[in-house]
Amino acid sequence: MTEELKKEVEKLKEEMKSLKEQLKEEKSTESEDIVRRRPGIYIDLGRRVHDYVEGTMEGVAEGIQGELEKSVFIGPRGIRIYKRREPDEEETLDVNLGKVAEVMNALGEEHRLGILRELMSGGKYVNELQEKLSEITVSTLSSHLKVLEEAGLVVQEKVRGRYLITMPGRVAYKMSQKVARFLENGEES
Amino acid sequence: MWDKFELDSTVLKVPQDIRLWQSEKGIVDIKADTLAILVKRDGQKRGYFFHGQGKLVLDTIVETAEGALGRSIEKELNKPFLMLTRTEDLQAKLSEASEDDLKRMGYENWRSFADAASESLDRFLGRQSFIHEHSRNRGFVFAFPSDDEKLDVLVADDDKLVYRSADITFISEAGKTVLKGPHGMICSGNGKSVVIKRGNFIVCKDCAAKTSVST
Repeated sequence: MTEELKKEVEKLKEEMKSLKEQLKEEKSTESEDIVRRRPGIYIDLGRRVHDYVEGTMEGVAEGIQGELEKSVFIGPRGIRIYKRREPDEEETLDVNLGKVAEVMNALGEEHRLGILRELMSGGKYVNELQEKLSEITVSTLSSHLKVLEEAGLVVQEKVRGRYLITMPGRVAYKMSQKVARFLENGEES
Repeated sequence: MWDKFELDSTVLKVPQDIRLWQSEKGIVDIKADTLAILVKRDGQKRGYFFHGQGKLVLDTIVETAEGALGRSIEKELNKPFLMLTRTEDLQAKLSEASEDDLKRMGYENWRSFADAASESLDRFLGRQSFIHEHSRNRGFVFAFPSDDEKLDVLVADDDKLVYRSADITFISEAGKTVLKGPHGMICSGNGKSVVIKRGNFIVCKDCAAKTSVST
């Protein structure tokens, strides 16, 4: 009888231990939830939006990975970065001449080049550009900005109204600088 | 599940132009006479379903040392759309819609508007759970139907923003930005940017040092 009781007590002790461990685990999960629910807004968007965000991030990661796989090879002896062969100067490129003409046209005005120069140092509002290019009226400035925007050389943040130079805009401006130096010095510097 | 959502029995209207959401990167406006119906879940007010005229403006533009990438999105909101957020502030601005208001938007009565809202919500949510909870601050979830009958989703909470449409994915949080679009992809943050554009892989750092690798 005593033996049976002892066994029963042992069994109960084990059950109690197991329950304590279970309780401890639950408490730790709960505290993680509390950490996540720090003060401020908490939006449990449900699976639909979580899936959206997760899917979005996965898509972005896959895109980056895909591009990296094309250009970067990581092997046992190190990392190799593949470079595109630069075209020869005489080589004819298959380019959209209409688009090139549009960009050249956008560059073909002194004040538009001035706008690009100002934007090279960072985004600016119209009034800031107006201060820098005080010799032209606001309406002329606006029409120049429109030409540059249509050519894809600048972009406007519609909410804040700020103008920014785009990647092609920077390349175009640098090219114009190169031409200017060539004309001034008679050779490419 | 969708069966936990319900629509209120009163159709409301927007008496004057209202800005529903505004941040440094975007704006959602609705115009006067837009119809609205309260969306509830488990008896709690969760947001509104709107149909009228409005506008979404969102700057999905990222600045890098190599120039800006992305564009500004401007979308007319003339199709029904859903907004999940705190309702208290907006509720005070809305008034009850009359039959004339409903007819102006092409609805016979409350029932026809509620049916249309219900059908759209069902399509939006895909019979999935779409829970929205909040405490002290404001957070927003917008679901706009796109031209191809899919869903453009905008989630905004303070300086956090996620926008996903058929061709653009834009994620922004405290100066860190990810943009994926037809023009390429950019990850930017802490003064560094990685740009992947038509096979060109560009790394920019602090608007000065840069490495460019082409493939």
